[in-house]
Amino acid sequence: MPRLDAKELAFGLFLIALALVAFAATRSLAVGSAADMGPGFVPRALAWIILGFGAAFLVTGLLKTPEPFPALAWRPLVMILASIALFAVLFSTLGLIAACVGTVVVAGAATTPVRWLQLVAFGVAIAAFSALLFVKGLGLPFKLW
Amino acid sequence: MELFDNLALGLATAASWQNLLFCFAGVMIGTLVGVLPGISPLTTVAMLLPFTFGLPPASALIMLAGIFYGAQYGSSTAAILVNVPGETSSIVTCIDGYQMARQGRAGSALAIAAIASFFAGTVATIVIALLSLPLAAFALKFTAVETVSLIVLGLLGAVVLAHGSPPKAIAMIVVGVLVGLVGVDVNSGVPRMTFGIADINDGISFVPIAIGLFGIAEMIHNLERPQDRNFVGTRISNLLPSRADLRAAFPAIVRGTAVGSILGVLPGGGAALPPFSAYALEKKIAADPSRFGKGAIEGVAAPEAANNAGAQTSFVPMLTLGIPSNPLMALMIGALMIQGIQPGPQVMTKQPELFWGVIASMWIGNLMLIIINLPLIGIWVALLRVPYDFLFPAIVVFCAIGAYSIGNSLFDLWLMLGFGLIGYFFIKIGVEPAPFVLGFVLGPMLEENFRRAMLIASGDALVFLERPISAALLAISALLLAALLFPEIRRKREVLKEE
Repeated sequence: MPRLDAKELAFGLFLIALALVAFAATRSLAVGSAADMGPGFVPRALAWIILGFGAAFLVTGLLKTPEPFPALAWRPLVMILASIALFAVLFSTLGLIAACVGTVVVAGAATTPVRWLQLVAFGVAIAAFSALLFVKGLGLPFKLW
Repeated sequence: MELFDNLALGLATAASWQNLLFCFAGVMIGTLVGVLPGISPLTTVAMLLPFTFGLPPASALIMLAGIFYGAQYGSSTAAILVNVPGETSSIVTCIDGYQMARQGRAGSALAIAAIASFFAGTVATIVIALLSLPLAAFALKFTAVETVSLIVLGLLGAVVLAHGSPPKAIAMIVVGVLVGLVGVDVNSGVPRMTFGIADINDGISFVPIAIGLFGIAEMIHNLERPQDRNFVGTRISNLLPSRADLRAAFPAIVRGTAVGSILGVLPGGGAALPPFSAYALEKKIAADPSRFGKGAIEGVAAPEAANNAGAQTSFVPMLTLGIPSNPLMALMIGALMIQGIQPGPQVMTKQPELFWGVIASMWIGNLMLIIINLPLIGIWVALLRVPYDFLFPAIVVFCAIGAYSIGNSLFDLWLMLGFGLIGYFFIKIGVEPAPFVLGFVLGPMLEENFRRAMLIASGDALVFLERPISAALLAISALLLAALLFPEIRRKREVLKEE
């Protein structure tokens, strides 16, 4: 992608996409009049404004001095998000302890080199701490295992 | 004097055993996260918010506020000793504080920072007490029309003082307002933009959004860069500053407090901007500006006073008007709402012990910080050596538990994940998430009042200009907007930030 400000362009596209989603989601809502607004009035108006901003950033992004889209750190991004997803899945099926250990291990793998044994031990410690603090101490109704 | 009665009531509330305990817990946790790298007070408050549900409102707010200003304190410790600011508020403290530490005057720098913070905290408490009564009395007269204009001013003000490009920030506010409207419309009872998901009928919950946007996204961003900390080898000795140091620092502390108190009250205020302005001011009026950057004590005293004063006075718009001036205050509003309290001018009259208790607790908390933290400095120093690689997996777990417990809902975990991704995207394209959060929190209030105002005025938008108070608020908003588009002022703003 030469000759365009990729960051600004990306923001413009994001806003346009969001505005389109908002239009789609509010299409069956009554708009009403300025004196008696329906539930769709304000969301629609906001969507138009967002669309306007999006279009403007799209244009300025094309005209501005070129800037490449910054490099993404895939490893931390994927690992951290995966560890949260894992927490959600494990927490509801196997309980808090498993969720803590799994999350620590997967999240810890976001940096290299990965020290698996250390991470598992740390995960167990965090699990024990969480169980004591949240379930014993604060009395939250979590499933432990 | 009503003022003293109020402060006495506040002190009585804040000095109960339970509240002292929560205040202590707050400032300790705050100092801890301030010292630790890569975890902000915002994330901490968001994480702990769900657990304050069972506490009385005053205790909850006292603890959360303690985290906020405790973190400023811990952050300056990190700034002085390792040249890594724990939070943005102490970036400036690094400049001269770290130099002082390298010259073997770490103890003196730490002590001056503590004294400056305490002095600023004391003055700020009085400022809050003085300003709150007239402001709230004024705001109680507001109708829907004035409320709309006030919110507009608050949101635009946040843009002026925010980092980054103003047009992008304004776009983010609008996006925030839109996302804030998701859920059942209060007027018609129709679900809006929920895509049939029952979990968001009552609106998207704020805590997972805040943790995702700030905590998770920043963590991923932190992991991109190697975390290196250059620890000063010298032992910290002599925690008492010399007489000469004190004499040089005192005027700077007073000036920093004044700068911080004023900037903190403004919309968009908080702990980030005041230290920069205070440092710039000290450099400007100093007899020998070349000393700055080489361990000038004023360069530690003034910014430290300013960030603490600013952190505290930024509670004024939140407590008296219900308008948060920064994302952290937005979270405080969330904390009040969890407790079933509608933030606004009526809080002061309906819940005086809550209002004044929180204010008095800030002074007590600052006193605790100065008494407890200097002797505990060894512990904080030890914590400074904790590597980030060890911390962040634990933070993920606590973020997840926090997001889940706000509504015991798995959906909130997925929400946090999604907003973590979006937040990382925002960081990458250089867009600040703070205006989004303010728009999100104020969105429902803005729409409701806007619709009511337009209904009363039978659809005539000119009503916002016909009412004098509303017109004045909008005029200030227009001035702010003009200032943003006016290149001269914009440049000055950038310079201020870079310094």
